[in-house]
Amino acid sequence: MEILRSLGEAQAPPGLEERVVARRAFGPLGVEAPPDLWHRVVLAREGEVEAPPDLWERVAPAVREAAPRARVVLLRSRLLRRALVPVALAASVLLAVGAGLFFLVFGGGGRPAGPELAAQREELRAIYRSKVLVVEVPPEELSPTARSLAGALGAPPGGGSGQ
Amino acid sequence: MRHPKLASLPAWLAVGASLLLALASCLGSGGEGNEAGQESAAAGAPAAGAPTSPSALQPPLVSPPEAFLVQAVRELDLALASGGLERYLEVFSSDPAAGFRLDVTGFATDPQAPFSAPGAGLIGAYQRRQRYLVHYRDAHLRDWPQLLRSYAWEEEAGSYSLAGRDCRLYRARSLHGFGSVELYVDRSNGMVLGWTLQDAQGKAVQALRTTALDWNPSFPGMTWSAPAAGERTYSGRQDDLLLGFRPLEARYAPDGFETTRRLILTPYDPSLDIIYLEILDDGLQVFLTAQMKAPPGGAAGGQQGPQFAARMAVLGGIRVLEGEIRGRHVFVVGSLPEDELLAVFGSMAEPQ
Repeated sequence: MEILRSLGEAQAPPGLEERVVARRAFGPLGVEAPPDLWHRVVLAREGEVEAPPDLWERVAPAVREAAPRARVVLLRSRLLRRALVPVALAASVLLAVGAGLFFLVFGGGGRPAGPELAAQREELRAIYRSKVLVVEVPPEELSPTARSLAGALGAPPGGGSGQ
Repeated sequence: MRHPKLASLPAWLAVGASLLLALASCLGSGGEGNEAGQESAAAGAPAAGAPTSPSALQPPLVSPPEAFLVQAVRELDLALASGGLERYLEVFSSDPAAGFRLDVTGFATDPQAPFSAPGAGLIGAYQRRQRYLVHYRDAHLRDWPQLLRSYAWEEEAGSYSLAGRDCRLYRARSLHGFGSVELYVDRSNGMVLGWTLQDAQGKAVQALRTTALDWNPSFPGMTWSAPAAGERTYSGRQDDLLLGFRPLEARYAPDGFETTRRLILTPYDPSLDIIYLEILDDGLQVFLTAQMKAPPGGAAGGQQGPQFAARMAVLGGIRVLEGEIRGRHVFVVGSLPEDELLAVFGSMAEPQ
């Protein structure tokens, strides 16, 4: 750095000092600054800058040239279109049937079936049933709420003892 | 010349229809307690010749009477636990745009005797219960997936007539041993004109037959049925505060039965307690559990060590269990076998 300063009137290019420092610091490690670093530093220094109004007009031809051309495939042949309708129909029906079968087989409400389940259910029912000490009483000894609930399901209003 | 997009319209329609089919099959296999069910869909648009499936495999498409503008005279038979029979003559009035109403106009205890005029008590009981009788006593096909899972369906050969209408007769046998239900369905419009509920032993517990129909009724000044108590869906914690407890959960439900509604009933009489009500069905048959704050003193049974004491009575084929469990007065009500209802009662536990 002292050597550069000793050149008197000679002006170092702007930013040279930072570049040298960076090279000294990171060069031995094999670290290279990214190629767009300088642009980013400049942009950061300048803050937000409005693009010139004719920028898009200038770059548009280059963008159009570089962009891959989009293509819309149209079935111009009526024959082809007619051939594809049954294919689409068949594919969609297959999809529907497949989805239906899938849910029928795998989505049966999570309820296993068969004698094992029946035995388990019977055991469970017996356990819960054994927890209740029940006394049978005449209907008129039930509470009014109990009789009303039974009535909602069609029990005779008089409790089965006439009107 | 057609627009190019129109040319592919059939394909899109096919795709749309197939996706709907797929969705229907998904719902059909694993749908949870759909309260709107198949029948209510049918009820919205009853079509001529609605029973489209004469095969023995599928439940029929039917519509309940409340889906029609109609006035029907019906006879209801209730078997009593004593072995006797009670008969009721009912008039059912319905205007789908306004509501429905169910009145009792006759009563008899002898199958051969003519109906006599009902007493004031019976008329009042019908007025209070009419809405629930139509919703929960009368046969409804409530949920298509459950109907498929819980019943084997068959159609009886031949032609049957109720109220001068040509009917199909369907029989749904419970796959879980909970009896069977016969349905008389009007062949031309799918309306349910009669039904019989049979218990597991094949004994008819309740039977209803339509005997006369008026398809052009006039209902000037009709007072339609209204709930006998304030009724709304249970909303959880806020309602627990009103109830004074958290409802117990039944850890056991009879095969095929699922909870389809949880309601809070608020009696219009402020001296009566609020009731928590659960409605369970297997697509066709219904049973109820209910809970309210236990009265001090525990008049209706109670907890004795690890066991629950309960009282039970049978009213015209309907079993009622009531007792106290952990400060709640619990009710289990239905026409299911005694052991099933006792198991539901015994499985009541604190919510997890």
